Amino acid sequence: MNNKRLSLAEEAHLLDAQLATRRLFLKQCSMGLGALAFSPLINACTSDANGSSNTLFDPTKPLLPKTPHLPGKAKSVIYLHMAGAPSQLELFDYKPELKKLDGQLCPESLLKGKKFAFIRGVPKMLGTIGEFKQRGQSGAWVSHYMPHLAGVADELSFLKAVHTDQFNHAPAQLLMQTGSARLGRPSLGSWVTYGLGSENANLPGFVVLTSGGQNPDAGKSVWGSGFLPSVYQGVHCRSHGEPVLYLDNPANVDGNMRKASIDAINQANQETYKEFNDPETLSRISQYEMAFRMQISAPDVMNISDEPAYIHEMYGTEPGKESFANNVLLARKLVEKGVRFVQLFDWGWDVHGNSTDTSLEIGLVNKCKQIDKAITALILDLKQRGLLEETLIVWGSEFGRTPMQENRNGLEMPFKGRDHHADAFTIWMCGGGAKAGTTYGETDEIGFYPVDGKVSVYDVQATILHLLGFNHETFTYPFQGRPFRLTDVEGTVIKPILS
Amino acid sequence: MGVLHPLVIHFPIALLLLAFFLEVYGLSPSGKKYKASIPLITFLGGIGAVFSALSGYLLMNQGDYEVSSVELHRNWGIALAIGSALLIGLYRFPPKIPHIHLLGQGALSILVLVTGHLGGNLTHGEDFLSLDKPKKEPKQIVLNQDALVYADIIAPIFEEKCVACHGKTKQKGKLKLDQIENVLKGGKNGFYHVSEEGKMALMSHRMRLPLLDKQHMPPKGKTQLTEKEIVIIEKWLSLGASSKLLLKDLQLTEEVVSASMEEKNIGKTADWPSVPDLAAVSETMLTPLRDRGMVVLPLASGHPLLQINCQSLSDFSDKDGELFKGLEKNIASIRLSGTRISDKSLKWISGLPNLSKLYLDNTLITDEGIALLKNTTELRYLNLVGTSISEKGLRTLSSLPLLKSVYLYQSEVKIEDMAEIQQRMPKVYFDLGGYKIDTLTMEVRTEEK
Ligand code: HEC
Repeated sequence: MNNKRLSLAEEAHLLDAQLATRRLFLKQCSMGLGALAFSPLINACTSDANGSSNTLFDPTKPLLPKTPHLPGKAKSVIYLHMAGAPSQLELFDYKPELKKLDGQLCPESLLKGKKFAFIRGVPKMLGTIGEFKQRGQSGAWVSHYMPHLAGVADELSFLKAVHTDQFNHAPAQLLMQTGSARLGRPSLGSWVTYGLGSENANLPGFVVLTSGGQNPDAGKSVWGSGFLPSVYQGVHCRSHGEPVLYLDNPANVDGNMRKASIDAINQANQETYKEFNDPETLSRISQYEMAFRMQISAPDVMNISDEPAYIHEMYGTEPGKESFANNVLLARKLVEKGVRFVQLFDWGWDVHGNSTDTSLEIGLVNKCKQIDKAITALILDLKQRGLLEETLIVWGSEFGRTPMQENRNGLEMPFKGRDHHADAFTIWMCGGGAKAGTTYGETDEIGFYPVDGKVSVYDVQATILHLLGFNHETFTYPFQGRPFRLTDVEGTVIKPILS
Repeated sequence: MGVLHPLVIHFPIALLLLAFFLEVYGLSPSGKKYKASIPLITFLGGIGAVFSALSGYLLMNQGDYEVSSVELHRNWGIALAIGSALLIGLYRFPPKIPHIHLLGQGALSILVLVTGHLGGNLTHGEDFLSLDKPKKEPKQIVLNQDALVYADIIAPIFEEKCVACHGKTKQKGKLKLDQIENVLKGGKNGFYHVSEEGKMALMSHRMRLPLLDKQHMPPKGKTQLTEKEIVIIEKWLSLGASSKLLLKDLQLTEEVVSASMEEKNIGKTADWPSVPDLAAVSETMLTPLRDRGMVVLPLASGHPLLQINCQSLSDFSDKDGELFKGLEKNIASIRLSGTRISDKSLKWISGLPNLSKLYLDNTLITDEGIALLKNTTELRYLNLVGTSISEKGLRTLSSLPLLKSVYLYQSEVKIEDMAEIQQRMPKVYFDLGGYKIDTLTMEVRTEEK
């Protein structure tokens, strides 16, 4: 064989010629027939019973801004998820009666037919350690664990009797974020970006920021796009160093060259699309284009170190480190620039009491310190910029904690801690059309069951969608021959907390 | 038996068309060999046609359909049954006339197609085959206290949620809800609009039954009535169900009224101006704005008011005001944050009669420009963050009746001046920002375990 090096063009020509063989022709014929037979099956997955595919989704411009059903109050959402489940009984749900019962054995009647993640046998009741006060004009109960947030209690809208039906972290997180305890459904943020698109073409519509050293237990599915086109999945930014990698051009490659190579890739993708008609290919093309535009816009937005010193002081941020406060400040910047949904996960709230870090006395205090001031700053900062009215902040977790002290394996624990509790926990919302200074829902004397204003995970989701202008019952996506919705067959909008 | 009709009809349709096809195919040499099977197929198809006619007759007599609308379908169906019986007979004798079987099959196929189509119209609605169906846009009407309860509120509710089963083509329970006369006539159990001996009117009784009850209306799985809609219908019934009743006659509490308006996406929500007569702008009028890079969207789907976002356009300047010509009335919100506009732009902005949200943050506007806003009476939200607006400019806003919030962070307004301004405009929320959060400490108590 000759050893002469071929030029790129020659090599391409040669490959092309090799490809156009008789064998290839035959192969394509048979594959082509197979594909023909298969295509109605594929379509059955994405179009509804009438065969029309969904109108909300234009694969060439998947993030085009769109109008909801009704004039929504909120335009964007910052969702603060405390992965692991903080103790509502230490922070917001004040139960003086429980304090009196501290140390007594839990009555059998409460345990009958109940399953707990770790509690075995008969546990003891555990009085709240929080020092509670009623705050502001609304008189909302906030404990000394959240001294800064207590100062803005009048901005918040508490749901004190949320319940879920999952008591393990991963399924409960999935249920909270995707409406199903099993994998495969799109997350809240995906639904919202699918329905509303993004007002900023240069940034992703749905950004995910994590802190606390670990991703949530349910993994990346909690911001996955499920059966929605994959452009709607959350873009997970790195929590230290550069938030998005490779935004800089590599050495010796300039912007024009980069653009030319992306154009070439897109052209190849276009041809693939013509051949196979898979809308995911178009999504991919638009993602490449977005990535190119992000090269210009993202470094600016993603960099919190440009913020003035007093803002850092306010949030308690330390640029360069992985911290919840940094993420909160970044969330504000993103929302200000038109990003639709910013999802924060903070890990480390699983206060079982089996170590210092998971103790109510020390661990929980430290976790609260990491978020308390930053969240307060977020609320006030959005407010002073005139953006709180149209930005919905949601704070919550996947479930709550038991009024009983955990007794893992029937033994006494080294620290004070509580087990997972699905029947009642607290979530709050702020801004974006949630009624400031309200408390809705109440639990019994020990915080075990809701007695009034009981709401489900689906109700919370329905309410969030409502505030964005969606009717959660008609906001659907056709898949496998039937329309799917985030709230499936459940959910009622919680009217008492709407402004 | 009647319920089998939609199932049975598929046999004659398929079989009789097949028989015709085989007759035609039989004309060519290769089709000859199938000819022998035609009498059998015709026989089976004919039996199917007779059964279809019988079951159809029973279904009709169950009373869910209006006789006049079914009549045509019935007659064609009978003709088809008789025709197929005749044709079966015809195959018994050797053909005297050439191609008589072919002609007979052809005629029968026409009968099959027409009957089938008429039947389809009954089950799927008249227009189910037409290609460009008129899209049903939610009607934009404003409800005021003088609205007609039946015509403006209840009729649209029935139209949306009941008429599919209680209308012209189908009358479940012999009840029609398409016109007021029919509503008053009632269904097979008559119409009781006044409660008899404390019994609820039949209609509200059925609307109030638990969802899982078989008698609940609308049936489970269909779009349900909202509580407000039920309240309005009940009130209307109890007051005699006259077409002349006005909303104010019902004396509903304020809350019910406003909620029912909101639910129907009509009327005045506090956040936006009410624009009953305003038409939506055509998409082509918006193209120049979109081409310029603005985000232009209606407030809600089908809403005539627009929200416009120019935030990402750092080169947007005073001369771009031109682009909004002809859209003045439709603009409800405009975001000019960080653009290059100056006081000059306030001229066209002040000519937007329905403007209710205005973002001018981080622009070059001054007190002089702001003074031009005094006639934008629908303005509710004004963002002046990062501008050189001072207390002088703020004073000029006192003529705006609906103004709710003004954001003044990083502007020239001084805290000392606010007391007086707030007094002039007591209902407005002014936010000067600049919040500081003192770092509070929380002692970590290390208790004995
Ligand atoms: C999916 C079809 C369907 C829809 C939609 C529907 N109905 Fe019915 N309705 C029925 C059927 C079937 C019956 C008769 C069977 C029965 O008595 O349960 C009936 C019976 C009734 C009757 C009793 C009539 C009588 O005299 O016995 C009333 C009243 C009624 N419907 C009211 C309503 C109202 C009001 C709505 C709209 C809010 C509505 N229905 C929507 C199917 C429907």
